[in-house]
Amino acid sequence: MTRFSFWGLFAVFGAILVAYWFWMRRLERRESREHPGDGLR
Amino acid sequence: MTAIVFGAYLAAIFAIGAVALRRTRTEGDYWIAGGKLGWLLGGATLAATHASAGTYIGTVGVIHTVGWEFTWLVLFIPLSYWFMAGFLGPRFARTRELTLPAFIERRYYSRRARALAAVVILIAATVYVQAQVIAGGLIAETVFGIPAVWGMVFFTVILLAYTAIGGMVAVVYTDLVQLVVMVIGALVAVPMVFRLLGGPGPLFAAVETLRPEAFEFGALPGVLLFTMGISFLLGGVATPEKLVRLYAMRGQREIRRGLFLAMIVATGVNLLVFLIALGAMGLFPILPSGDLAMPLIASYALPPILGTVLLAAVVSAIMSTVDSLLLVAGSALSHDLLGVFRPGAGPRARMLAARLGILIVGIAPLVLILSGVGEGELVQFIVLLFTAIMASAFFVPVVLGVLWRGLTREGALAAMVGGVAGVFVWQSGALPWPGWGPELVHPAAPGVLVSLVLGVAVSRFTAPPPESALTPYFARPAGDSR
Repeated sequence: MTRFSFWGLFAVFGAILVAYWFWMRRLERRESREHPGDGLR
Repeated sequence: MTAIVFGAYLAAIFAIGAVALRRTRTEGDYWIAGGKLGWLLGGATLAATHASAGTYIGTVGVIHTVGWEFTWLVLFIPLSYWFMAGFLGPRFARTRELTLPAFIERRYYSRRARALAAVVILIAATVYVQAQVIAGGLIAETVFGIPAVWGMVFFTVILLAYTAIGGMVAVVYTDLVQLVVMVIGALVAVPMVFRLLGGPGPLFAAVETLRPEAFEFGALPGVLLFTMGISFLLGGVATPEKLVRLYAMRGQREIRRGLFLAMIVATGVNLLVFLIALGAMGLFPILPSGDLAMPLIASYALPPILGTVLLAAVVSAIMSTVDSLLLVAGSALSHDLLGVFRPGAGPRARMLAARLGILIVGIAPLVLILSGVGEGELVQFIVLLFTAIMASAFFVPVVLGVLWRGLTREGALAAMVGGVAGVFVWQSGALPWPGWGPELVHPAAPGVLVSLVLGVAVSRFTAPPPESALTPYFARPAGDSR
């Protein structure tokens, strides 16, 4: 129980960060395709 | 030594206030830093505003008392930022305002709704600041041995000095400094605390021996744990001091990246603090109050210089939250309430009103404390209610308001009034069902539920919003080729 409740918390947090990162990158790539000039600001 | 470290820290904060003064010319600069923040400053100020005395003292106390299960609630923090990035970021980036009540007026075409939102913010933030000022006074008493009253006066004067002068620009840059101090404080304390107990392995063994229940679930009712998490989520999304930071950032991309930084740092600081709490369980397994755990670690477990750094982190956490609330309450008073009653005021009068507003909301808590209002349990009671009140007043008007075209002016007013009333009724325990109350369900959950039901029901029976109020937040209806 100890290890699960301790490390599980960090693992789930890490998974949320990775998922957010991919979500953010996907939106940014889509936006750069739609508005190519934005990346040069 | 402590005095020198604190002196240098305060000098840096004042210098930032002075520089910010030169960069603050308009009301837009004063309330939202001109809407020019990039992701680094935007994310840092969000994270710094997030971490408060609750993080460094309250959370450590709760974990010390109920065990590790409470830490799982921290996962609602990144989820609340993700929610903001996905649903609110794009819409807030398109329709910049200076305050949350200004958003309420535009979306609900009603000055009355704006004034009501301003009053809710003003009262809730003032009382919250009051509790934080008391905490600041107690720290001054503990660290410097000066009377708590003078500590509170000193604390208020420092906060007002840079916040009233430099507005959001000063708050954002001081937040960055304060965030760095917070992270350093937690980062140096964790290895020291672990070393005192012989490393992670022996620390776990000590905690399991001394507090065998620490890693088990069940100290808190599951329903309470879950509804507290929901409260973190809803309150995290809907508090005005966070929403206004979306307006302060340059655009949608900066908002998304800033929120990513904020979720890493705000959650990361919490995780570090949890490790300190674990150490406190091993070092001081039995305490009369869990809230003593952090001050005891800083005073007795760490070498004096590191203890001072940790206390500076606690003070930074308090200051970075209070300055943001002063700004939000000051803007509610001068920009929203004065804006409603004196719409024709010129720019100079507005800047003067802005600074006076900050001074009034900063001095009011001190006057209330000195005159004996809000002593003892009352303050603690209202601090616990702060998130619940903000979530119940604003979650439905803000989030549902930008996702559902049907929410009307009357629906939003009913949602705000009903949500706040729901929280107070729930918290008072005056419920017809025995066993149901704040000890089983956190008041934010019933508050938001009442707000949601009233908002939807009243909207169904009132005239739909005019298209002009919806256009800024929604795509045009299908078939509209304008």
